[in-house]
Amino acid sequence: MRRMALTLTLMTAAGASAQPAPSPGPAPSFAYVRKTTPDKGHAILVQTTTVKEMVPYVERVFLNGVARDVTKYKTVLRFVEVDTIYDLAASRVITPDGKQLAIDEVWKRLQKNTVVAISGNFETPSAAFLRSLNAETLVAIPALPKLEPQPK
Amino acid sequence: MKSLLTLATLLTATVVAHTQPAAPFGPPPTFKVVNKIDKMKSEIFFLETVVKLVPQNVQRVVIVNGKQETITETRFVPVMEHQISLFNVANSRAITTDGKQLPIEEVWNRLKKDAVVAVSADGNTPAQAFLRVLNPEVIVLIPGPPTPAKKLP
Repeated sequence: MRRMALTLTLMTAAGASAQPAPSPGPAPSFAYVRKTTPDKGHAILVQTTTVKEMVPYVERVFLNGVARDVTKYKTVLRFVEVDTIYDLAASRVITPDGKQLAIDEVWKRLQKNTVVAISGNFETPSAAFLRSLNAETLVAIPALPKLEPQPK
Repeated sequence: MKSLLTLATLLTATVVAHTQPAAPFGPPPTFKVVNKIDKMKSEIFFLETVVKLVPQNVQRVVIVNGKQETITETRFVPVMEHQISLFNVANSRAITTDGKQLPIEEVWNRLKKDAVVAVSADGNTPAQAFLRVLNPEVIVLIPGPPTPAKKLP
């Protein structure tokens, strides 16, 4: 009976190791500080997003032996900077070792053009991502967006 | 006296301009987690988790002028999605956070499953300001130009 129990325990342990490792969750993204207004608790952070654009180009084609210029379109990815207001007074700001910073310290360290990491899911990023950051980097964990009333 | 004041003002302005970091140029790199490595094909598979805010209608009972009313509210619920992407190392570069190029053998030695790497978004070396916020141990991968798709026979 004991042997059976031991075998079962071993089998369960093997099953656990065969399972895929849990995902570390979404990676934090990077942004830089455009402006801070400590009395309002706000910081304007600049994030970069990609935008798809249709760009025209001319291609010479031969139709029945006659050369013709035809305008065609191709999709081009462009990087666009977007200013976002973050309510840092309602958010948490931590260092990569997980320590929360006092808001006064946050304003002191958030100078113009300082690069910060922003949590991707409104929660503390996983240890794997925090370890990949420099010890001096600030990590902002924003609060979830507020409720929007249903339009009548 | 006036010229002294002007000189002092100019010096202060120069010092302030030098202490303030310049805005980083170009897009920031993105963190990716290594899921699988195929050294023979020079390929790395990344596991990415994307969060999408999905609107959900929720009904709530409120009291308006002493009467119970049911109102519908829209709440944004974060939903996670997993994606696997392929990265070709053969036509790419790898650097350290101080900008030094890493030999390909060193890249294969250091890359393990579940390792976190930073990947350039536009195929250029990320700005110094972005490299400075990374741990010095992190490898920065810079993809080369995309290879044209093979034509079907």
